[in-house]
Amino acid sequence: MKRNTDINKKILKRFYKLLDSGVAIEECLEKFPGYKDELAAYASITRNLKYLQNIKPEKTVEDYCLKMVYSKSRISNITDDKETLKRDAAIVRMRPAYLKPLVIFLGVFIFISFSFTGTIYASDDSLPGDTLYSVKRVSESVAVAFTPYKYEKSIYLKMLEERLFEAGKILNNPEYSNTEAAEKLISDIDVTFNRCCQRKYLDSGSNTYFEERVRHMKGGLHNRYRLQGPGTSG
Amino acid sequence: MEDKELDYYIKSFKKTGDNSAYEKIYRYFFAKIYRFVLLNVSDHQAAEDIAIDVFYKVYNHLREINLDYAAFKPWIYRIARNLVIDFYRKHSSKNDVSLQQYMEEIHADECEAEVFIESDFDENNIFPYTSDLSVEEGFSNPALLKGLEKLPEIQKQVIILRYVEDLDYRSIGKIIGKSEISVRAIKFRAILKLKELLYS
Repeated sequence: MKRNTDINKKILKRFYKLLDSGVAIEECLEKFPGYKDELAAYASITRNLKYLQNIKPEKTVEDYCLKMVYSKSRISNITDDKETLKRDAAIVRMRPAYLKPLVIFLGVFIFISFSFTGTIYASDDSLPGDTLYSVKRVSESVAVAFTPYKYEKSIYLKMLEERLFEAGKILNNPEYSNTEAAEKLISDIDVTFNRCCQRKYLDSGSNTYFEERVRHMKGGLHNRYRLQGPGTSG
Repeated sequence: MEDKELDYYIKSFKKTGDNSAYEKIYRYFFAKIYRFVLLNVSDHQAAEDIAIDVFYKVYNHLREINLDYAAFKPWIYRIARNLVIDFYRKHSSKNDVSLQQYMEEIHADECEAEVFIESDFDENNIFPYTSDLSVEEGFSNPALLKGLEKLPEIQKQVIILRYVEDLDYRSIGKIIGKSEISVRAIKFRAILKLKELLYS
């Protein structure tokens, strides 16, 4: 019994979707034979609404209004809200349906980009064991991943330089006590240096220079934190 | 009038201020705007005044505003809607222009309304209108107009814009300042309410 009085809203939505796509009311009714009686009321309302299109002003009214528009325009002291009209025009001209989600997306994208850039910038001075150090390493990996192979040399040399700089900073900081991070740094220095050697990024002069610095830093770290390895003997 | 033609007249009026181009635009839109306003305010004199104001604004400002024909239609309806809202505000205390009152004065009677409500789905029987009807004849469908009158303002406007003025949801969204999805939802609620009012 409920079906007779309260038609399934899904069916009704489908009916109106079909109507909106330009299908005639009678054809729409034919598409829902099981609900024809219930939909007839809605069809009748819709058809009635369309009949209101027959409301038309008399020609004399139309002419009179046009005369009034012209005569009103000749009176110069009529105040008018020009700004509102311009704003209305901007709204109807500028607001396609996709604009709002697009603005939201761009806003979120810009916010994330700025936050990420800021975090990377802040992580520049971090040392192994710091919270932002992993961000620094990830940004280096990303830089390597997005750099063409022939330009990787400068990045690897910069990375090696950075690791040695970090080791130097740790050695100069008596309060630094993160042994685990220092041990990890030694292995990172080894990995980066070996990679530079394997790929022949170092010529004979710079090879000797870096080899010396690597040995010096590793020895310093081993001695300072009493780690197992080549530097322990001194 | 085709879109290209309308575009030509809009451009022509904007460029030269040519009154004949304006008249073409006026003749094309007047009946639509008048009908939209009349269905909202239910008063011939008020509808005339508002329509004059709408076209006065178009006449004076179209040249200064950067609009193409596609944006022109929502813009002119938006002006009309804003003036209708102003009218509601001015007359909200008086409430002297109710549609029911208007219909009682002119020609509607309760029997007619009942006939409409109770009649079956038969367009030849219920809606014997032709396209040449005047305003008064168009109003001889009192039950539906009563129902429209009882709808919330926004629902009434959406229903009129969609089914009487035949505008798409996007344009209606621009006119009433809502998204396309909201307009669809408002229309659906309005239809349900109208059905309830007319058939309960």
